[in-house]
Amino acid sequence: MAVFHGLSALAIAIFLAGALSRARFWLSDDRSPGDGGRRPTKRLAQQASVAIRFLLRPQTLQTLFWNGLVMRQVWRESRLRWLIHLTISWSFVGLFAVGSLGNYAADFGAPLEKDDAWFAAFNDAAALALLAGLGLALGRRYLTPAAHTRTIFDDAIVLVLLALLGLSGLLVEAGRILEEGTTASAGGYAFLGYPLSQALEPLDWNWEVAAGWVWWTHAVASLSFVAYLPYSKLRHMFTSPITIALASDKEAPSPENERSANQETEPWPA
Amino acid sequence: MAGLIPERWTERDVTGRGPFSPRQMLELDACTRCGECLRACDSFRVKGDESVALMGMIHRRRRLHNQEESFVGRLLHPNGASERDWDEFEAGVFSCTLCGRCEQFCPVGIKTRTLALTMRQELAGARCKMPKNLGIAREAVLEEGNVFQFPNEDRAMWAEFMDELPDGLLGKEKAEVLYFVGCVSSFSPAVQEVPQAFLSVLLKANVDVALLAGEEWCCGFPLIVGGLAADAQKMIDHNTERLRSLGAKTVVFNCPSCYYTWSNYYPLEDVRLLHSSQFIRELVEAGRITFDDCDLPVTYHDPCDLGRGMGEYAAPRDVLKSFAGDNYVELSPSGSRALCCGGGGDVEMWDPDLVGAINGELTDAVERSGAKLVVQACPQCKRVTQRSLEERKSEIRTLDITEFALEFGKFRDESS
Repeated sequence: MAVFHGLSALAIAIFLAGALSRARFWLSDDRSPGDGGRRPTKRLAQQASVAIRFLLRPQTLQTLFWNGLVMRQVWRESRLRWLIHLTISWSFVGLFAVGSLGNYAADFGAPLEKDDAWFAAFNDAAALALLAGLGLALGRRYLTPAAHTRTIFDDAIVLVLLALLGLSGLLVEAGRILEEGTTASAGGYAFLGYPLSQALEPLDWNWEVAAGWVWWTHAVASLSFVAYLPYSKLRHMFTSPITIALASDKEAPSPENERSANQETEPWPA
Repeated sequence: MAGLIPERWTERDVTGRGPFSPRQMLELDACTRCGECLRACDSFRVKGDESVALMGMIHRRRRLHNQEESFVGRLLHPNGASERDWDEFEAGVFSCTLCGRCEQFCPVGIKTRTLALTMRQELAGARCKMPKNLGIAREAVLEEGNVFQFPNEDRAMWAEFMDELPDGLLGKEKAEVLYFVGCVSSFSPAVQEVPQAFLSVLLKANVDVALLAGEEWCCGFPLIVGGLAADAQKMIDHNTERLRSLGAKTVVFNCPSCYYTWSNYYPLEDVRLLHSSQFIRELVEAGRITFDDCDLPVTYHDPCDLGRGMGEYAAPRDVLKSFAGDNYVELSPSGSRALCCGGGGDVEMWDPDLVGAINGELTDAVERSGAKLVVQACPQCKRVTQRSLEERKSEIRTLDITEFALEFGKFRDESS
């Protein structure tokens, strides 16, 4: 585990260096006389209380809910793109918040077992959504791209990394089930992981060794993802909520102007 | 926002070393190249070149930044980005009509119009990179007070052709309402019926109105959208001083760009600013103008600066629906996604062919609507659209909302 913790520290350091370079970029053109001598980090800190007050405004929260969490604007433009975004982003958040942090919590003594019904089912459902979203994304971007779709190399790296994370995660689960000899009654809630373990069982590998390799593949993919995040388009996980929140600064139009303005956009389904 | 987020996080002019606010730098970073703005961009539709759409501009600006500011960039480009790179960036930025339509499509809420405007500020204001004709227009505005380089004392010549012009109107020293006419309406022969119509409406409604005539200077809009906001201050100061001396508490405009500029750049908290469509709606609501029922199919085109710029979509529709009722038809698209006429962002000064080509989409939409009359609320939109319809030998009429009110409205004082 010392190697893993060392690699984790390295990945986080690379992430932080990237995050700092982004923050420097955001402030790189802000050179008004009063700010010239202050460090970007200090200036950012000074904005924190203001930003929190702005964030907690009802109007900001409403905008964040509709355009950030529910992604209404994306839904208006393309149902397919909305579905892709929703499945990938929410399953990713779920896998990180429940799956990864849950495992950490279990390591530190939280009353949580990997074969607990809800935990296993949740992780597999999220993995299924992630892989389905990735499949749709690959099809949309590479098989039937829309006229305005622009694909760069970064898109491929991101999709491959996410797919590697999802698939290796399932293999980790299947390997663990085989290694621990989990029974169907105990492991059946892992509705993807358990059948996968049964499919792999005839290979007659040494699962104590193989599970370790699969685990390391997943771990390295996860740490690569963390390290790569601020240098890739994945950083929009952080920048988009901020720009969406800032966009709520517009003065609310009168109801009649709102109606006349938005007659072309389809309303959110009731 | 109202003071919650500090000014420097949102808007700024070229007072610091660079014109971009931290928010705008964040927006440059937040663009994921999703391509939604390409769908919205009429310049891109015509030119097929990404660099004229916001996504392309952002991409080029980030690349310039990397070449000039990043560690690796400075190693590879010790002399900074090349002139050619900056020229290519300039060509894209100055092909944008600043219609702001892409802002309605951006899924991450980038304020595209303001961002494109800041790019122009950086190019024209800080780097002196701008189309040659913008430089000529700048000289014209600063020297003559109008963008057409005509003697400014001829600014109210259109009024002298009116039959019912009251004596002394042009020299009036005090009035309740100032009618700020704007350069296009004042000097462009193709749309001089627009100010004539609006002044007639004002007079028929017994408004105590005055014109600044030769003392009206350009509002500053062409300079501001050209990226030369600092030069507009002279215009703002002069027009504000003339307004104060007139004592007017209301300013009315038939030009949405002037209305936008006065609303956003003039320090006038105690003065009411109204676009002609809003003023006419007030007359309709007060029963001072009525319309007979009609069976003429009518449609309306939202000008960028009135709709997306000022958020006014309802006033002109209310007026038209009070006339046309069920015969009023919407263009598709309309409202916040209305098409650009092509005449915005000063682009006509250096690329008139692009303007005409952009307008083709709007003219198609008008023809598809089945309307026999398209009403607009902007002299520049009317000028460009009318020309396009004439070239197609279309029988569809174009009228400004002021001309429409004058032609079809019955004024209470007349009928009683």
